[in-house]
Amino acid sequence: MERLLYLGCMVYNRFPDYELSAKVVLSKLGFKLRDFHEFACCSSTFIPSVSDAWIYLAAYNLALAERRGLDIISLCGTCTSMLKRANLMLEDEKLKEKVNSRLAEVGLSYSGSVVVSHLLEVLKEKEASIRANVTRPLNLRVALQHPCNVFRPSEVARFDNPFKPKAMREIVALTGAEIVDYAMEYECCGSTLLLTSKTMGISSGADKLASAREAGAQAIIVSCGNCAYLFDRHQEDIRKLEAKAELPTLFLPQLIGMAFGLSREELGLDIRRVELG
Amino acid sequence: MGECNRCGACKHVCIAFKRGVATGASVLEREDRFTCAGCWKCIEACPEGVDIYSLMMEARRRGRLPDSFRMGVKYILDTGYAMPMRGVNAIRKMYGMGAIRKVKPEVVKKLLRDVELD
Ligand code: SF4
Ligand code: SF4
Repeated sequence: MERLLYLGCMVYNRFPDYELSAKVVLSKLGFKLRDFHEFACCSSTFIPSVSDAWIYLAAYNLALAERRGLDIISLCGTCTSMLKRANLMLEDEKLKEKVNSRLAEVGLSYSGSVVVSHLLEVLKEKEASIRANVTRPLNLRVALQHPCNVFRPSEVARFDNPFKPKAMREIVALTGAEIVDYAMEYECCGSTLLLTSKTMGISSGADKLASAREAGAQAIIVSCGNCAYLFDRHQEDIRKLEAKAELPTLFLPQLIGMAFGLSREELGLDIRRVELG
Repeated sequence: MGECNRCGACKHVCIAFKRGVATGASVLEREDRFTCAGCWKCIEACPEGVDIYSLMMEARRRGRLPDSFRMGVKYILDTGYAMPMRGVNAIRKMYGMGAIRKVKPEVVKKLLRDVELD
């Protein structure tokens, strides 16, 4: 059960609480995570928008994991999708050869052995263990933000239902928290829209959070740094646009950790000063 | 890979279209290919199996790169990360977290030498 956590730029840069809580919850579930901080960016949405060379950088990360002989658990949607996409494309022997000749220049090679799974995928396999660790069932109403790229494109993700994923509901249900249905539950958060249109990004965040709060949620649960970037880091802009969109953002492992009876400190809840009403 | 029959299924699930990005019959028929959430509902909705991901990326490479994308590419080329990592290790230390061993610039330069920003 040894794994490498692939944290990604967004988590490194802004959300140490996601990393802390994921680590403590995964270790409760029996995973051994090596502290490994040599990975580079997955290529994100940026490099593919300018060049096919994105696969060299994605493959570089996979090769680092392969050299360690360990599979990857990722925390964000896009990182998961880019690494999985690279793995799929590298099933083509010709492309693999080409990529390997580039990797050789930096002293690496990649055979294609590393399995990439998002946090949700590994939690889904550990339902019994999660249930067994819940010591303080939560008395909290929550809304869920399903991370798009963990499910779509389905030919890359190969996990759950692409339009109406169930994994997060099933996992959160184990904590005792009440999951509210809200009109916009299966919509994308819209965070990436912020890159070229702050107005569109903020308004989609505001619509979602307002819809979740109207349904009675006391927090929005996320399992991607990019969703948190919109909901948490832009909460002031969102609130200015729509006062009814005020809602705290919790990372999924923070919620699970609360049900495990872990402390605020262990879960990094004071890092973003999360207060649940 | 399928060919587009211009049915519009992709566009009707598209958050960018719903929020006002001018779109023709398909999500590929638009001037602004960057205002896209990358949610890829379009791909799931397409009955023809059009490779929207690749076509979208190729189309982006033909147009002018928005500043935010230029900055993201530049950060990656210069540092190996899409965001600035200055000060991150100090914060990590505060929370008792291991330091990031920053990616060597020459490694990124070799891997991404085909990527050019004009
Ligand atoms: S990936 Fe982009 S084009 Fe496709 S549905 Fe989402 S926002 Fe629209
Ligand atoms: S759903 Fe597919 S076939 Fe229909 S317009 Fe979009 S790309 Fe074309």
